[in-house]
Amino acid sequence: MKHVLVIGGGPAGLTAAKSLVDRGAEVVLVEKRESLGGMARELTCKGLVECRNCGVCFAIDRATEVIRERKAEVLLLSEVASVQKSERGYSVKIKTSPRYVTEDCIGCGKCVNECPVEGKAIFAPTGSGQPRTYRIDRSKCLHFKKAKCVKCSEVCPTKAVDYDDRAKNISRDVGAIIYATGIDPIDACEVSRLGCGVLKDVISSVDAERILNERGKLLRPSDGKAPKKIAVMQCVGSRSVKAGVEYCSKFCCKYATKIAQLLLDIDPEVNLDFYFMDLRTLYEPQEEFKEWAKAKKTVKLIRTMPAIVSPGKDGKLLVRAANETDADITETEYDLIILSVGMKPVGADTELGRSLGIAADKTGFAPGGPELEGKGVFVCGAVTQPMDIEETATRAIALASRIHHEKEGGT
Amino acid sequence: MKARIQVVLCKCCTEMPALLNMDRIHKVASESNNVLSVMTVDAVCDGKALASIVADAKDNEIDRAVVLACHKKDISPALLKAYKKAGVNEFLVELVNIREEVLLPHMNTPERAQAKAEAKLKGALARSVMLSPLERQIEEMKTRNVVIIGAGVAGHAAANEAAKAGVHTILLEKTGKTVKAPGVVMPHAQLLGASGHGGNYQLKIKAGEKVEELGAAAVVIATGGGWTTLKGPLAKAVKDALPLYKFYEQMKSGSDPKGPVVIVDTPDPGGKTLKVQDYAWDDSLETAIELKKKHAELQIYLIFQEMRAFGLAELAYKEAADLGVKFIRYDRTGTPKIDSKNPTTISVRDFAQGEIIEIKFGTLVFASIPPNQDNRAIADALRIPMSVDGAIRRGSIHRWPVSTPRPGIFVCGSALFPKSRDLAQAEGLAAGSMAGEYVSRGRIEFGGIVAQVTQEKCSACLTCVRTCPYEAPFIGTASKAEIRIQACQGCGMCVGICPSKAIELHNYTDDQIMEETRILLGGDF
Repeated sequence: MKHVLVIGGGPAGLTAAKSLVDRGAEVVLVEKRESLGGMARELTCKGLVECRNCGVCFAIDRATEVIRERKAEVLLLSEVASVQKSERGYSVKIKTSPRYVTEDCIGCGKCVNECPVEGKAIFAPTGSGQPRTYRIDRSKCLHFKKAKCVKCSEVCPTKAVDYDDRAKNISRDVGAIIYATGIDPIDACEVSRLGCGVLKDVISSVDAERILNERGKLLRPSDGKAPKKIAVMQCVGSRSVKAGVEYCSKFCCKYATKIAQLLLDIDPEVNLDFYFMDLRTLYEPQEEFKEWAKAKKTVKLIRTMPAIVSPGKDGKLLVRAANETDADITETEYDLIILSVGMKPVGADTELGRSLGIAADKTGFAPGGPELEGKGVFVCGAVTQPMDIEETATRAIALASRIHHEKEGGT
Repeated sequence: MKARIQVVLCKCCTEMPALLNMDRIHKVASESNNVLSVMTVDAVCDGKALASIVADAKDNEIDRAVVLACHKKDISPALLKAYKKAGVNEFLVELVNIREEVLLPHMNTPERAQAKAEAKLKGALARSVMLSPLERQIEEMKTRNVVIIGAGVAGHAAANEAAKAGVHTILLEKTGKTVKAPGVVMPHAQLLGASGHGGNYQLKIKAGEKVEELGAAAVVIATGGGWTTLKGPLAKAVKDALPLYKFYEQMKSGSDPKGPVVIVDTPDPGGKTLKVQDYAWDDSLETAIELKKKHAELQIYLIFQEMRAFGLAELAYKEAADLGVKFIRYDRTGTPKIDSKNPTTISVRDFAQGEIIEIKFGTLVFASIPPNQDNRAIADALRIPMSVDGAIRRGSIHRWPVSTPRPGIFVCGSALFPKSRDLAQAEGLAAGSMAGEYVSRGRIEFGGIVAQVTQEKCSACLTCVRTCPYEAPFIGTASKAEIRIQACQGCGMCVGICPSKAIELHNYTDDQIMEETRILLGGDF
């Protein structure tokens, strides 16, 4: 029986872990955040009427499965401290931070209501992350300061708060390492001309997905009213020499078109303008979105990159953009603007990565390769190149199969 | 015989008593008809609790059970195994998801949670009485064959990966090209028809002149895309017109192209095909860059509707532009045209400037990959859906990637949509590994909750035959519909659509559903 260490609990790590467990291996999964799901935690299901095959549920389902697997050891709030080459693979030291809430937590939220700290020191995991166990942020919590506050512990119906939780050091011996640290969204506010961070009603696509995931509808952050005219702008922060991100992030077109469809499903009256450079909807028939937009009278596809967003009359937003074909400039007012942000790799260039021989190439991604795989280090997921959940899952299955057969070969 | 029901209340460790009045639920259960024993356990997922449930069930000679706990997925395997030990049929164990359907949504309203939990318990009890015992059956896979259709990049990868799982691979290749792959390679082979169900498909294959029947446990579709060339009078007029992959092969073999080179994404310049064709973006950019690096003075044009340079291919797009490759975007109003009187000039209306551009070319290269024309026949034979533009449609990712709605059939590579070599290979590996895993289980389980036709009511209208996505209903020897239960997945589509109401789903009959609904809506218990 071979042990495999999976670093990263996002779609790539989870799919690889599940595939390996299904094939009889034992897995140690290390995730630095408090819950599994990675980037998919903050994304929303885009099917209101029918499944749009966005793959978000796939990642979350794998998370719940992996938690239940007996052969998978899930270490949350953990980081790999060091990796040493040993005789039969690697010996790994893992550092686990305390959570201060045990698995008895049923997520009722009473503790959050009681917590006197501004911004709350006890909170639920982000988005749809699994498991749903809460956690306490030690730096904010008054219990660890002079006040010795125990309000959350007193109100908890299952007595799940445990202030005596301690950091742990865990060592494991593994035969192979899967490195799947994943991605982070690009901060939309880096592109200052589009008003993010200054104008309240300009939000990033990840924000929009998070709001849709939590509340099921998207309202204007400034006044809480339902927007009547929405603009979706593609390629914010990616495909841009100025921002230093020259590649195409690949998944944003797919998800933005699905969000546009979801917004129209929620409110068919909404006017939606879709600004894009090239429509790169991966995995979908190319014409499908265009046909859909044509059939909906309220949707307009505009092939241009908006120049600037400024405040308009009555709290609206004014977008200046060049016309598709001529040099004329049009100004249009919107209630809400969604900036479709790209991704950048996480952990492509870290000390841990370097100690394993993983290095970022000139694009900033860490592609891995056969040479590393020969040493038992497998790089997987969007840290290798931009990809969406479906492609990530496909590649993770292929990778798990490779590891499985390599093991049987006796290497 | 009177039903003998056991009710199990799982505390879900401590969650249920935290919100619900367990005594009241206990009372509701024990006061109901047919209930012989009511048990409260700390956690049904615990082995000790299961042992006590089994002992209690044996003592009271229980024949059916209602379990109030959490999600089916969490508890069902261990719980059903325990009940099997106690001699209770697995289809008579009714699971009520109290944790996720009552506790979590009504966390802050305990009264509503209590009422809902009681209503759900009553509903489940009413349903439980009406259930009938069913058996799941097992069928051995007759062969260990995995048939892979297409020996391209994806098909080849799939064959190699499936073979590693110890199954027997059979690779069908349309052309006569030599392929090195494990197992059997059948050249000039074509799929004519298929019958059967996941695990035991029966395929009709034409190999060369012979038509043979072949058993297959799983099928991997890897037909790839179909490359285009010129058609009609232009095919004769334009001498140097090649699909991209042939052009690339020529370039690699060292022959210099006649310049200027035009790479175009439409398969039919001047024809009626205005639909955007998908495009081998990575490969055409790579070709253009290599060519430009070799012959700096050579004029290269890329004419396209949509530059779908995914991911890191964007960098190649920029590099090509920096090297001086010219990009011309057109839209539907100004598609590229070649006049057969002047077969060395292509004219296209540039989208951004609105001007007609005329380019004299030496070599015309087609980079478009329309869906493979064989897809239709294969999809029809295997009964899997296709997308609007003629590619194979993958199943919901909710099942796994590279799967189709039918069990045991996988799809990978450009049969789905044109993709780079690298991704096609990864998909092939994934499909091969999943097919290998599926076949190495060696057997399929079927039966249980499946559809059944009441023959007297059936008018043989064929509606169910046409509706079923799994090819389960067929018209039997009595000229009435029958269900092939090995193929039935219990989805209930035929039940809903049958105009004579002749089909029923076991344990989900109208009566059972209506009775449970009546109770849930506050009916009299």
